[in-house]
Amino acid sequence: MGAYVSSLLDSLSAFAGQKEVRIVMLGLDAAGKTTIVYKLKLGEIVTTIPTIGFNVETVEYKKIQFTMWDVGGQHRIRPLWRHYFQNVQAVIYVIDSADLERVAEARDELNAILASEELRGVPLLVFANKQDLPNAIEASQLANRLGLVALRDRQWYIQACSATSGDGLYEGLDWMSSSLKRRG
Amino acid sequence: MLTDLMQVPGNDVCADCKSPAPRWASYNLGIFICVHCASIHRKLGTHISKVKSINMDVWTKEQIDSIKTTGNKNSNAIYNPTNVDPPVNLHDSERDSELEKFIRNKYQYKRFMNLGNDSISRGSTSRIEEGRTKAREMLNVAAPERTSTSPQPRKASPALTTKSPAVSPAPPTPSPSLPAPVAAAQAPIKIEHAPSPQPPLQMLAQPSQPPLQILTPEANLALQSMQTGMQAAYQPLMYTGVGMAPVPIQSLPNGNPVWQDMAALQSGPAMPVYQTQPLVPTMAYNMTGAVPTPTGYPVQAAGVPWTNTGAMPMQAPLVPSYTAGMPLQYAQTGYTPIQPQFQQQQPQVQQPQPQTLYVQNGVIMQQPSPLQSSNTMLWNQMQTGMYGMGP
Repeated sequence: MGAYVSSLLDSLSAFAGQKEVRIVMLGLDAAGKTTIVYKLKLGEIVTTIPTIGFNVETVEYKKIQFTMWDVGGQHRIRPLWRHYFQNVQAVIYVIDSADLERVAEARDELNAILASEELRGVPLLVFANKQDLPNAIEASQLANRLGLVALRDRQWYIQACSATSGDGLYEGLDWMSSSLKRRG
Repeated sequence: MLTDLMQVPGNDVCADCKSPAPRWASYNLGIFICVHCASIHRKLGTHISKVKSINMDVWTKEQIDSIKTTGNKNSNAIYNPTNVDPPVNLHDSERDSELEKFIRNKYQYKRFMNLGNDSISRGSTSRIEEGRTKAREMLNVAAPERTSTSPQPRKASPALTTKSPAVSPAPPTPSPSLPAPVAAAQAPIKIEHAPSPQPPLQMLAQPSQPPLQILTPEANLALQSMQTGMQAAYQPLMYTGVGMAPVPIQSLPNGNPVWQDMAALQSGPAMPVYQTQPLVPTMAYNMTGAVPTPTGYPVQAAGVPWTNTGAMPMQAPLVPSYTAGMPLQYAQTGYTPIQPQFQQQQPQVQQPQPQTLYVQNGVIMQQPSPLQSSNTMLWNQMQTGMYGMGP
């Protein structure tokens, strides 16, 4: 019965031309996750206090409703990330492209995430954020340093962006929507 | 230990806004700060300030040592020798943007340091001298490096040497890479006419900060840097920050600001500074209005009833939240724990239920589910305070 209702709901939402996608946003603290979410949601830069716990927002783009779960990235609350993995259809991993000291740490956390069974095969979008800062490195360099090129059995994409200007954010969502379509 | 350092006088209040019991720190600046100031420090970028939580991050010995050797008092003696007051008694949303200006002036543009120079030259020496001497003592190694990189030869300044022999005179040296228009912009302005960094009255009279507009120059610069590769981002203007009134940057973009600032003090760009290298007065950036102006916290600005910020309750005391132009969305309802919706493992994410949230510090919060043992455990640990904070 539940399955029937669920499929009915699916066809209804398909009829309305709406698709819902659940996304989890992860990354080290101060990478810019919350700023990106609210830039997409409001088109504004808000001063975000460090996220302790999570934020959740829906962003509609190209007839897809993205429900974004933005989870705090402080070191000691990263073990909580896995509680947000269930039923996600895509992962957005945000990295501070100017914080070169912590690229290795970001890589290790990313690898730990991707090893999770619940995220097997789930598409990965990496936002190489803060490209406006003076020491930022290019997305291609980051892709190497994060070990993305070695990823198998997973669609991934890295997008240079600046949450404060908004550059690159929708390009990332473009890739995500086409990627989700490919997956069906 | 970090907890011991927090007891040191001066470290028990926020280095920037003076609010009590700071729970965050900037380990490269070596200071303890409150969560509000931490949020602004995070905006500056890690080339200026590297922010960590006292109890939600892991600290290395070097990071703790950095705070040990500096601390709030010494840092303020360097960055704010004249004790320029932080903005106070402002509306929440306004205070954030004013505080951001204050903090950017203090650490990014280093305007208050130069105020110290100005005061010295006018004869009010005691506290400033004390601060500068401290700074010099802290980094007495730095002098040769800095002077050797000085792009202009030093000149003796008789007036200075008689008044303040400890300060070695040097001509004002604008950043060598400073573009011409920027330097020109500084020229006509005298520091004596600079208004107080306190916000002018008309700022207070404004109903609220307008929503942030991305300014054209800023957008252009950002775009330029995206398009032409990151070389463009090394332009000095990019470094001075988006859309701000240009100011001379003494330090190099890649270096440790503290180190270079102290080095700058060592080499002593002292008395003549305010005459030939005047500051861009604070009025200038007030008028440009170019500082990215925050509009309060995400939840307030969202104005969507079900929008919620789940958070573990370990923040500062309750502050009523209100963003002008929007109805007050959330009353302070006290603590009403709920089960977060996402744990019910439904195929589609449901919108969290607003009735069962509580508001703290203007942020809607949820308690983690007691069902999740690790979650609860961590939360409890955080409630009880310190645990295992590194060496």
